[in-house]
Amino acid sequence: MVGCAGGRSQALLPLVDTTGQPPLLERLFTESAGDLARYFTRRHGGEEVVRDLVQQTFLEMARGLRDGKSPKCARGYLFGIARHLSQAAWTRGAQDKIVPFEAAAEVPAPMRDERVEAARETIAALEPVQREILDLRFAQSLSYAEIAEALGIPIGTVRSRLHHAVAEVRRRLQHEIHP
Amino acid sequence: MKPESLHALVLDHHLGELSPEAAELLEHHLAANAPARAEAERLLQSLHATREAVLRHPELARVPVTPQAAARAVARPSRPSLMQGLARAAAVLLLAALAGVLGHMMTERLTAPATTGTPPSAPEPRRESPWAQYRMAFDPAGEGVRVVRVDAGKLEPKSLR
Repeated sequence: MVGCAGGRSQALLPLVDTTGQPPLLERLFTESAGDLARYFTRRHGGEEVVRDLVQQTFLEMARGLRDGKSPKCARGYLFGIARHLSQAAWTRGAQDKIVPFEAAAEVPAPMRDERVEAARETIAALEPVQREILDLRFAQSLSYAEIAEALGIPIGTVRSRLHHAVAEVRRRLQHEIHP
Repeated sequence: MKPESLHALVLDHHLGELSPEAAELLEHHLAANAPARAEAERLLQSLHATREAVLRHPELARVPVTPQAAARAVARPSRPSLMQGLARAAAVLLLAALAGVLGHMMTERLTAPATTGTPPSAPEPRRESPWAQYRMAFDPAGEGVRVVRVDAGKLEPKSLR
């Protein structure tokens, strides 16, 4: 799998493939297209729009590589592009054409759990970048290094923000659920 | 171990971000320390609640977008053109030349003799050389520079005019 140190794959990114394996983009598409589709689906919903956004993400990545970009971590770079495209899609008003996401559509009838509800409220009050870190970690299973590449921030920041978020949830649970 | 350090290690370990050596040390510590183990357990429960909340509520990941961020998002990375590079190099050369000229002017100004007030005192002439008996001096009356003779014995300047 194409990734970077600390990710789901421990292999470092080979930008120039000399081992006879499929080219980088082809491998990335095979390995990460599904993850990207899930990422866009969580934000935009509609199947057709998601397919377009996935294609656009790979197109942007191909352009970046052609223009001399050399990301440390291909999956992180890919999700960074996906994040920008997702934000741009919302800003352009593309959301009008997108089926609004309904949580129930993906998670069928989740059991009400006061701990999860308390955690949701705590997370909702966090900074946007912290919420993105949590999403990339828990929903997309990106490593700290991949998240750092995707968001363009240091790995240490990713680690400390994630730790802080969990600590906040813990404090909330300690005070309200198990006083 | 401080609670903050324990929390960080437990989270990193659980998320697969700890080196094998550090993970082994942490496991030994937890095995030998019941309060730390209980604390780690509570922290992991919070982590699970956090994960569940994120998975069940994707709307949490949607962040407000500024128009600038969106513009950056759709803009392709541009490569600096040749003309831009040349213009940058020309600007650097111009600045360097300007700095050199200014430095030269300042040096000359600092080392030049003062032209106002009393005439500058001339260095004591060397007695070995006959030419050393004469020196240039400014005329305090404002008539310009004149040549004065220096009496080697008394070191008194005498005008030749």
